[in-house]
Amino acid sequence: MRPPAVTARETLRARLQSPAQEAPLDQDGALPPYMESFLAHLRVLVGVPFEYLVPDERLLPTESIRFFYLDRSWTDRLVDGALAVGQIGSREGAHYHAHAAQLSTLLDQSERMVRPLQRKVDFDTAKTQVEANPSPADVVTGFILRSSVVRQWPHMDVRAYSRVIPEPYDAVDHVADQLHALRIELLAPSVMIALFEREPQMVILEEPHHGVQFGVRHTGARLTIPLRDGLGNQISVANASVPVNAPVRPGHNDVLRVAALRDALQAARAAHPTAVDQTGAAAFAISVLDPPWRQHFQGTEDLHDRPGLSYVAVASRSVDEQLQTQVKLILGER
Amino acid sequence: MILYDYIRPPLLDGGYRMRLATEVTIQPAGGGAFEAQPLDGQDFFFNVEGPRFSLAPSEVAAVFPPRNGHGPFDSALPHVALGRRTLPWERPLAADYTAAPGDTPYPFLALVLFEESECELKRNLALSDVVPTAVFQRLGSPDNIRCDAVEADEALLRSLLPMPSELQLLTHVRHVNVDDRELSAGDSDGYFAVVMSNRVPRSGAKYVSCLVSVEERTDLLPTTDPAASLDGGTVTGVQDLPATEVESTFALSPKSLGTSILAADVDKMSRLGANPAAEAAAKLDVSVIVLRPKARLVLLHSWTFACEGDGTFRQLMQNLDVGMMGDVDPERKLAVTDTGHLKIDVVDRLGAPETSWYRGPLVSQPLTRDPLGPYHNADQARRLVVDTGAEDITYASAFEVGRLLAAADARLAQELMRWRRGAFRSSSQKFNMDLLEAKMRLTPIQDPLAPVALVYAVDTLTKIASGSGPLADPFGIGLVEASPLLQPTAVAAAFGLASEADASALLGLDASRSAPIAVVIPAQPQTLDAVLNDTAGTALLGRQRARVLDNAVVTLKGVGR
Repeated sequence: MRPPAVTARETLRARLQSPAQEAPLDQDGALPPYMESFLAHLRVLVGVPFEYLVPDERLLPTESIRFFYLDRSWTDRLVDGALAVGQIGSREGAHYHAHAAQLSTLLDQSERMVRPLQRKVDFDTAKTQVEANPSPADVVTGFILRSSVVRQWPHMDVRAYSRVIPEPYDAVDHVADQLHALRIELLAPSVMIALFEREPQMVILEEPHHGVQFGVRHTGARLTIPLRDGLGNQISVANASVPVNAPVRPGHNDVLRVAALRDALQAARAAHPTAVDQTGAAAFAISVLDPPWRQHFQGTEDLHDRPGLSYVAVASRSVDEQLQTQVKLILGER
Repeated sequence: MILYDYIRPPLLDGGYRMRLATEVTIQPAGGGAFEAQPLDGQDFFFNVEGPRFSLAPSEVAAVFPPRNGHGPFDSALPHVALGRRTLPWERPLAADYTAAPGDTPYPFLALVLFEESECELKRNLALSDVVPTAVFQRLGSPDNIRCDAVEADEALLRSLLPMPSELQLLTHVRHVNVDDRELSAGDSDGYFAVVMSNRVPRSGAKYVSCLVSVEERTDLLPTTDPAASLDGGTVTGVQDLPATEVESTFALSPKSLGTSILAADVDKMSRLGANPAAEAAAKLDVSVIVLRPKARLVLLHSWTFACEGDGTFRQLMQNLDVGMMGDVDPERKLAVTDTGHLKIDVVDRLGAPETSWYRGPLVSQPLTRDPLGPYHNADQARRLVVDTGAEDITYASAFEVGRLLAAADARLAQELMRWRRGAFRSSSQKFNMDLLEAKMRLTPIQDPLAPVALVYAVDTLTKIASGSGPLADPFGIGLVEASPLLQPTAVAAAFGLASEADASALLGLDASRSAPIAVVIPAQPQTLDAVLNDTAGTALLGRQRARVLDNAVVTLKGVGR
């Protein structure tokens, strides 16, 4: 046994001779914030190379979206690995072994503050928010989207809901059903990953609101704009929209006479008083806005309680007959 | 989403003078009229500067149609969203277009849509080459400004550019919710200034969208709505006169006509007279010359797109290949088990090639969490798949990735050491405290944050003062009793006695220890004088006190030193 680096007597002597006789107020051995933040980021796979997430390109072809459950054992091993740095002796090993359970419980909470941290909320605020409503770790799900949509429509809205909500609805009314997002990030210019707490029944991707397009309709050779009310909904008379002709400049039938169009829209208000009052640029923008497209993903099969399929996490062994044959089939190729 | 007509910056860009002055009025002693005695004022100068002749790409939050996008954008007006909400209104459009507070200000930005062949983008020109001299002067003749420019036919520009009053309508501010976005939205506050174009893309054409500065460009901006308005009808257009275009004239610099015309050339042309084309024609002896002067605008941002095919947000979304992780098109011939494992080729530590199973952290089924942790090295996490006999290196890989990521982060390694050292120190401290409490019979400290040395020092002193100091065998009886000569067993064995009882009797242990010697001191009422006169008694007390002190010294010597 190697001699201890410090003896009790020397410690006490140093302590009594120390000019500051007040003990430091922070408890020794508390987790440093930077470390907690790093490990929490690891928990939601921040920084993990892409080829570890998707080991084969064919698993995520172009123009595809793949939903998944997060393998908690995988992320636990990631944290184990991170803490193995500098674990050179049995002392460090014993230390981690003693603290692992506590650390794991702590990180179950801390992983929820990754998104606030990534959005530049300072650590203490984020931690206070997370600790305000502690709840045990739940299943983590998500999707990975590889599409030119990601590149061409930056900042689209991503939301997951615990139940299927029929359209039309306003996102503001369903905040209670919305699942907490642990991470929404671009892994590459056209690859987006999102992680949610719990299992969603419906995921929506919505065209970014600040990029909502202005739309005109081609009616024959003319350009028209459907009349809209103050909330951007089309005004319909007998299930048909009310088109307003868009005046164009002579010589350039693709250039709108914006001021004249505004006047035309205002004139149409006489017949349809619910139409938006043309008071300025904002009212004009509402009149020509096309509502954002909202893509739903729902009705995915829930295999959670499927009988006969049991997953042992450690050995990943399958007891399913069919599965075994498949595995053997694959191995038969060797 | 909330829309605003405009958000006016508190101060427009420009140079400002701030004058600080203090007005003081003093009433002379004894009353009388107040006299003004102002203190010396001081002037401060500052500039408010924003993007003027160039715009950092990071200021542009989004563009529509998407950059280099292909799609049926023929029913959409192009627009650009700027992350800085006040940007379009930060500079005055021109001296004639200033808005009173409360009125809608005129933005100085316009989004102009050109077909690809209609315009030419020029990079890094001197500002004086971009704008005519008069405009350059109105801009304040800034020195050494180089900027990008877009060049197009002046007539075309006039017909494309919106009127100042239309600019007001084409620019607004949106406030959107940024909570559900991916991170590159960054520190956005959710406000975006949106500048839209007044031109609708035609199907089948390629377009260049140019965000231009029209500051002081009253020479180009139309001021009247074209009178011949047709409500969406087709216009045959004004027919071009059959004309000979010349590439150069002696009066104008060679590159001026047909390709580009510079500010200096515009001035020369205006000197040619009321009808420059006719005069130039006369000098050149050509029947008709149609001058097609070009004009340039300061270009802040541009992107291209093609209006063709499928590719709207909706179409792309609807055509996505949707599935759970691990769903593979059979044609792609990727062998994935139902558990999501893939075969991968690895080289084992002996150098032999080996096929192992691997699965990423994204799986198609909910899994239970491994309760066997924590693991201290990757080998602990290697598993053999019973069904196949091959090794599963999923979790071993995860472990190694975590280790490498952590090792790559210098600060984390430091913090890790700090964390461990802290834990070791606190455990060592606890050990010391336990030792002290046992040896010195101190009161245990409950609060882990209490200052140890202080509490112990006070505790020790209290115990000394109260006289119940830790007695360290003051009479040495323990030592004597431990002597082998007083152990009945040892004595019986040494002297060959019949039994231990005999030895005890021999040593006199039984008699002396069975009945404690009771010393009864009769209580006597004493006066203070009697006590003081009792010299033997006070000497005894003095010795007792000295012994208590000695005891304390002996006990503390070991630790205090």
